[in-house]
Amino acid sequence: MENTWLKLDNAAKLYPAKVRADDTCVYRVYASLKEAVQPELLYRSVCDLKPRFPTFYVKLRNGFFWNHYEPNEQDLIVSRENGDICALMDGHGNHGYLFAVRYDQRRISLEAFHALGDGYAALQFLNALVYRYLTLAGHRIDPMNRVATVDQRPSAAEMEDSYTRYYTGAQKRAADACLAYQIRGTAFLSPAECGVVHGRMETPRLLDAAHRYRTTITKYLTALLVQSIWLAGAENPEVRRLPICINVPVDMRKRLPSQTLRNFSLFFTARISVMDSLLPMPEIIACLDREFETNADIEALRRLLNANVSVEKNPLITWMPLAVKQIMIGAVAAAISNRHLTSSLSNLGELVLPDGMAPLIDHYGVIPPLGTDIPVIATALSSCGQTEITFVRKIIETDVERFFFKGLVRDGVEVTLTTNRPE
Amino acid sequence: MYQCNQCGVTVKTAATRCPLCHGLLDGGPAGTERSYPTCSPRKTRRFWTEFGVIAAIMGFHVLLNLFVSPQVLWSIPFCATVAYSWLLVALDRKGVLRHGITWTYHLLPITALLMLYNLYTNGGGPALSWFPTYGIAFCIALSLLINYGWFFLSRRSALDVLPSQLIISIAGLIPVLLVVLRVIAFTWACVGTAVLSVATLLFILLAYRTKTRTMLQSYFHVL
Ligand SMILES: [Zn+2]
Repeated sequence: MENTWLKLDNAAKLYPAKVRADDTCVYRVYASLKEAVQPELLYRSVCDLKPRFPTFYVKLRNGFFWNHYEPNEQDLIVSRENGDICALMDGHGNHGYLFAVRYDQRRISLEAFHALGDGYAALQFLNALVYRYLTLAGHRIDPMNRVATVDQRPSAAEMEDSYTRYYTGAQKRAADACLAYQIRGTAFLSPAECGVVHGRMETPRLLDAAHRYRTTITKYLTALLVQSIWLAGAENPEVRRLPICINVPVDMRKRLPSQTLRNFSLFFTARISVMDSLLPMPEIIACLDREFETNADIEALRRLLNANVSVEKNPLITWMPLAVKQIMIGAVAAAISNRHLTSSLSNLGELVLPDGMAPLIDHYGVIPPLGTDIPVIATALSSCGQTEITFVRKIIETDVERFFFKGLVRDGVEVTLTTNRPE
Repeated sequence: MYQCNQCGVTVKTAATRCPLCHGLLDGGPAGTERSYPTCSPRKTRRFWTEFGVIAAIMGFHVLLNLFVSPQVLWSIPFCATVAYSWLLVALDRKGVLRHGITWTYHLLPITALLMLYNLYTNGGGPALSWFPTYGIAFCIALSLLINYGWFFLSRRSALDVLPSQLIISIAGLIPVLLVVLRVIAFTWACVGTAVLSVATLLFILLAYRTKTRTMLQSYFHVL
């Protein structure tokens, strides 16, 4: 990586163009420890990991046709959390780095610009950071090959653009879209403000609830979200006129062999047909089964990947100067994309930790990047036998979250809540 | 820990009302915690501090202009340029300019300054026709010098400056080309800018041969 530059991967090319103060494309992954965080050790850990994660320690540069990354040699910044969540990644304030490491009491947070990598990549980086931190704090932990360590060397496979690797050029199919029901509410005063509600529960209890409906956790949570959106909007006639469309990210590393620590996710839309009255959970799950079968099987995803990469390979787009491209992408992103989505739910699955690390950690969590037009989105992440479901919202009302967690409690899952807006 | 009987959830954050239904919570403070720090109002304060400094700078120059040389209102383009630069910084901070203020933005306030100066000094200063023959060459030469200054003073890597320096150097050949094509009249400013541009191009090629190649590769994704 010394003195070299790196192309942005296919998904990353979009983010620099669509980033705005109210659509920062920044998400947060965090680990809550069982002891208070020591800032000096955290700073040392971040510095130590630089050679191990070269794709994170970069700065974004403008080229004539595309953006690219260059190694960033500036000093790293580790700061205390100030209450802002997923705020705009200020290139100057952050010495050009596209990620920020913060701490608050017992929590270590990593905020990353989505162009650097997806949630999986950020969790690997955070996990390595926490491991390094705990080692420096005097704990002896066997990494058990479950976490990246400073004595390893980064592999070329971790830096590859897996989209391009699996692009075949054949059988393209862009996701078809239709207008979706939109959640309404009163916006916060400032566009940078957001409300976060974390609900924590025992993973086995959640699994039991999903099994009771003979389905997976992802489909169970998606069905619950659909129900909650319908209930929250029951007064709005549009909910009976337009379908509810949930954006579901798929970690492609689980579908195609790849070790990349950059972006390698695809998104499909699970569309629930218009509901005149609230459907019971089994019927919504049956509908989701059909949606997942048609949209999330590997051939459909490969067609989607081909469609996404072919846009970048189009000569008209390739030879268009960057400034024009950015204006175009920004305008298109602002005009169309999110009207086809009601909300989004990403289940990042289980984060497996080394055995020696689990007793030192309370839990891990994710705060997803919140765009302009989708006011409420959710993520789920399991670690240490617990699952944390996080809702982020741009509106004051918490109806969707209320029906969602009530639904979990109804299905026998005990939920513990924390929030950034206690009143 | 608090309990919400309405929602059936346990609330760990120190609060009096449920974050979901806003009903009053039951239970004691054991195990409750502050989950997130509260936002500080520092941004508003920073805005007013900056506003005060900029207003003071502008005010000082307007007064200086009015008392020393009221016949030429040079403070108007000056204040416009200062306000414009502040706007650039503010837009950059909001992320609107995407990845920093680049050389393209440097040219704009200087050009605006010269245009306004010409407009307002039509009686006492040089006429508007001065701009195409001298102004363009002057802007490009100044941009080259600003970039040189930025490079030598800010200890940035050569790769940070090379792309813009290369593009401005090529732009620096345009005025002399316009003279050759007889679009504008011959001036020594055009020749001077062309000489500075050629010297810069030679300097880049000789001093940073390998870096230039890397720069061209990354900048254009070719070679
Ligand atoms: Zn409640």
